[in-house]
Amino acid sequence: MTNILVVDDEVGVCCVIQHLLVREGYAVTAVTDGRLAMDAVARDDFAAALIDLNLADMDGNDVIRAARAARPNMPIVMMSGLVLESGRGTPDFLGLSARVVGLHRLAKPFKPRDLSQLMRDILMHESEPLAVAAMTRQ
Amino acid sequence: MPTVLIIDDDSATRAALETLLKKKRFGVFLAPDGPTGIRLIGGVSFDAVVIDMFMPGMDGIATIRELIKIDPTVPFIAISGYAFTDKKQGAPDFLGMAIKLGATAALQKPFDILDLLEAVDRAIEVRQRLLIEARQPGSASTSVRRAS
Repeated sequence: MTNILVVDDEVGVCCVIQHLLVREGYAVTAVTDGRLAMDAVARDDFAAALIDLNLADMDGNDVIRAARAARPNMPIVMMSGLVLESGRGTPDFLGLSARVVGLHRLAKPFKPRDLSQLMRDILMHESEPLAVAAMTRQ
Repeated sequence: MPTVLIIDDDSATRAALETLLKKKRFGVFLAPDGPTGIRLIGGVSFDAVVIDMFMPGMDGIATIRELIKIDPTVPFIAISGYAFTDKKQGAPDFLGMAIKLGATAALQKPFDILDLLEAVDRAIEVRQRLLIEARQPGSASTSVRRAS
């Protein structure tokens, strides 16, 4: 069964995402802090990881960098509910995260069907060579 | 599968609604209070939210106000164990307040399960309409909600 890592410090949100993915037939490892996430990535092989940028114990970007270093081919979805100073709008994904190959974005609050579609797209790309998959995302 | 969030401090109500809606093949999520519900709404955009009006701490009206700020396209249904309107005793008109804030339905407990199912179905229809409106250039989903 395809195993997905979910990292979100909001326990309830973590549980909802886990439930939605399990319903889609995925196995899910859900953790609520960055340290546990990095331990999980080092220990287990995941088909993909969903990582919230705003974690309580550490910067989500650091978790993403660590995950990328440990598992270069693992697709990563960065999640964020950040709001720009100008008001509601596209979450601010500026910085290193947005430029790293293989990163996908999921703005909160997201619709369950958008999560499902994104996971299907990601895992479909997983079988492609990394360079080709990266080009399709740019 | 449409997803429904139930925010109610009464565990028996949460359990009953969960059982009922799951039988109808909804994805059901539960929150025991307003702040928990708002945190969930901040993460996932539900197809409908059922909100109890009388909860300790953050009440239903305050929860609705926060919900609208976070995700204005989410339709919500107000429920309450108390009479919404009691002009003789001067109680606030929570039915009117919830409707003015955009509730697609307001139900007083104990309500008929068919009324709730109808309200949820209608809320999901509203949701679909809001999403279609939101995709159209120059549209404002919040104004659609308030007009509905």
